[in-house]
Amino acid sequence: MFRQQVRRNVHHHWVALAATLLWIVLLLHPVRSWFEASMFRHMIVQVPLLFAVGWIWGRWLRNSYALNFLQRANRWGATGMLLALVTMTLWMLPRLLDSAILDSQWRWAKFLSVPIFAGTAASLSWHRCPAIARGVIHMEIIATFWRFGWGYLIAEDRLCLSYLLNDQRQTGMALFWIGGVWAVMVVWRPLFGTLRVEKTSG
Amino acid sequence: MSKDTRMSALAFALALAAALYVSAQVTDGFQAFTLESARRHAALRTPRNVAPLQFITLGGEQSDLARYQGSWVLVDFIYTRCETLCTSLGAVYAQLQRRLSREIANGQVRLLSVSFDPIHDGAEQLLAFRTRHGGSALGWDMARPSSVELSRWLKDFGVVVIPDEFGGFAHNAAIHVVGPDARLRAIFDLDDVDEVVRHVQAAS
Repeated sequence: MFRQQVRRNVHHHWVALAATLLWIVLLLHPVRSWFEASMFRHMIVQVPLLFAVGWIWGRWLRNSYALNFLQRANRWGATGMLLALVTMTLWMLPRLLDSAILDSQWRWAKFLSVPIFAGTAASLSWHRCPAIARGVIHMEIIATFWRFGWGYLIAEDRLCLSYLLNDQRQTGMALFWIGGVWAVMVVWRPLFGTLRVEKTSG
Repeated sequence: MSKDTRMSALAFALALAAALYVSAQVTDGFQAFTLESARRHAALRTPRNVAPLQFITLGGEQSDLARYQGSWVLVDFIYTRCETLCTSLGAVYAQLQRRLSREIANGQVRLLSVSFDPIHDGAEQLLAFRTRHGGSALGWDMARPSSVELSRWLKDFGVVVIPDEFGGFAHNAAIHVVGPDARLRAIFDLDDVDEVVRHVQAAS
């Protein structure tokens, strides 16, 4: 049993190391340029990848005792989720996407704030959220995807200086779809999961 | 309320305040969600000095922005192969040349069109561009920065040029108003000819 525990902890270290390597790779100029060359790849692939890196860091930190103090200020994960939601929303704004490409200070702001204030914060907070809070957060996320998706889809001018109108429209459409898929996934288990349970017991 | 709950409530309140503060800061008080509106607001709020950026004149001589010290300079960025925005810019500048003819004759105002396509835009192309839109040499200069100097021009004025799908460029076309003190004082839309004229005439 103890050996299993140790193996699990070591496993955590490897995953966290892999996440850190991913973070470094994403920072490298050719990789970064490739992602940031397209609005879709920038907002919908690169930023979520940075979030995932932070999430894994958070899982790794969950085993750390030093964090117990921090978590005392994070009852129900409220503070962490607030930071995460605000951070991710800000990085969907056209101005910040442009600044991250054009300004090295903003580049670092993105590469640090998304993993730490969004990914790690969410990873340490989500499991503490009561079901109702989770529901509210899901609603907010879906609404945000739809708001931004709509905004980018119908805008007549280029909102980002670094991207063409086509790119902008496609990204808006993609955000719309993601919001839809998220909505379906949220209602799937409550609506259809229970039917499956009834079948096996009946 | 337990101590943890109190600490969490306090932390939440602090996080909320911080989130509002940061959001307000990065959007200039929820006014500028795009970089373009940000740079226009910034020019109005805190006009920055523009460096004596160098360029080659139509005559082939080396020159720089310092030659215009003491006059208002209306700077725009174009490329002559453009079939959309730049044609509007050309027409607008011809219009400005007519409406500000008195100020130009007094030496109070100059127009400067800067090409960001040094590969294709030689003196011939730039001259043709100006003539095509009904402009004359009177107070309207055409500038060709070298490739090296070009990035300084674009950076200093906040102009971003990206290739479009048709072999041309997309850029945030605007009229940049540089004051007699060499500060970038305002950035206007191409359509805002009246605003530009009013701004310049009020100050001259």
